This record gives sequence, structure tokens and C-alpha cells, in this order.
Amino acid sequence: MTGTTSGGIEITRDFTAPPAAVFAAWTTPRHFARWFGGKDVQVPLDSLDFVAEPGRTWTAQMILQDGTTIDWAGDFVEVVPDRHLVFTMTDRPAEPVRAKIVVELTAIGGGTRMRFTQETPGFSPEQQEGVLAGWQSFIDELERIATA
Amino acid sequence: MPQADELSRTFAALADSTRRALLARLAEGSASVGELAAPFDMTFAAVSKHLRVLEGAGLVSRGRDAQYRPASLDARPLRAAAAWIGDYQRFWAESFDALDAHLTTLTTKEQP
Repeated sequence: MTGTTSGGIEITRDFTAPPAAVFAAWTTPRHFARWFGGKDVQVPLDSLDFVAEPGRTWTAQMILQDGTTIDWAGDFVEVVPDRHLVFTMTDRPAEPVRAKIVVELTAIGGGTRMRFTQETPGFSPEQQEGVLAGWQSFIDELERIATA
Repeated sequence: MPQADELSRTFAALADSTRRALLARLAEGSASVGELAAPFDMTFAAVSKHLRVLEGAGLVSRGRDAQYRPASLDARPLRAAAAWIGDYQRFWAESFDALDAHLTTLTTKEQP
């Protein structure tokens, strides 16, 4: 399930693996490098500086199929093993703006439900909370206007 | 992906429900401050303040006529904002497909 929330992108996915495995896939460099960006990109393990501890900065390099590279950077904010991960990221490390990402893991059956949100840049925390429920319809409207 | 600082201004401007309503009104056509204020039960000063934020984000341009100065929607930043959301939705969808495949591989390897 994919949608647009009050402040950005929301995706919910269910995995058959338990929360500990999903959490490890997010926070262990050799796992994260395998899936971040999808199967068509490469994230060299030696390009990763990725220690999931609150306050630590992380960096990664991504090589696209056409050979172009993207430098990612961000900070870990909250790390609660097997349950909760909050970090920031940007593909423009020279700029101060960072998008906040929240990953919440819940055990369901033998597997995991992952709720992922990425805030749009530019919102203050007050704005995040204050944005009204009409956001999704507005985004739909935006896309209609923008593509008209 | 588009410039983060421009996007920040766009999304910050869009974070307010009154400004979104003003943009929706302007999507129907240009309007003066008075025309914009009428359906919202707002003062001209309040509408002008919101228009300045929208102007600063490049979402609205104002006419040159000193008396009337109609406001018009500029959809270009909206395209960038919609593209940002679309790009990241695709990015994460592809990432999570790969995550799912990776987790499945690990689970299979662990089987005796």
C-alpha cells in the first residue's frame, strides 16, 4: 500500500521475515547495501559509512545503471532494535535540507508489518501535525493542475 | 531530483490549508485579492500575507497593474513537488521489492 500522507509519502509492506530480520536488513551495512535503491542499482559496501546509532551521520554512494553516481547522506535519530528506526536522508549532501524517515515494525503472525513514512522537506514539526486530512485530494488536484 | 531548497519553499507554502485553498481557487483562473478574500471570510491583509508566501515559493505571480494586481497560479513548482513525491514513491517501491527478495533469500539460506 502506497499513499501520500499529511506530510509526505507513506508505504506499508508486509514481510514473511520476523521484525528482527527486517530491522537487521535496515541497519546492517552488508544487508542495506543489497536492497537500498532496488535491484537495478549498486551500492558498493565500501562506500557505506553506516552505523545505526542515534546522532551518527551515515553516507552511501549509489551507482545507477548508466554509471552516474548519487551520494546519499543523513543522520540516525532514533534506533529501537526490531521496532523503530528514525533517520534523515538527502541526495544533495551539500545542502542542509534533510527528509525525515520513520520505519515502524510490528510482528504479525510470524512476519512483519513495516510502516514507512518519508516527510516532504520544508515542513516544521508544527506544520507536520497541523496539515489537514485534505492533503491527499490536494496532491491529486496538484497533479491534475501540474499536468494540465 | 529537484533542488531541495526550492522544494522546501514549495512544500512549506503548501503546508497551510488556506494557501492550498487559494491555489485551488487560482487554478480556475486569475483573481484579485478582493476576489480571493470573499469566499474565505478573510481580511485583505491576511490574503495578501498568504499570497506573499505563495509568491516567494514561485507558485503565484502578480500582475503589474498597481491598483488591481491579479494573482495567477504558476504550476511549475507544483510539478517539481509532484515529481519529488512520485520519484521517491518509485524509489522506495523498488527498494522494498529488493528488500523483500533479499529477506526471502536469507530465510531460504537459513533453512537446513
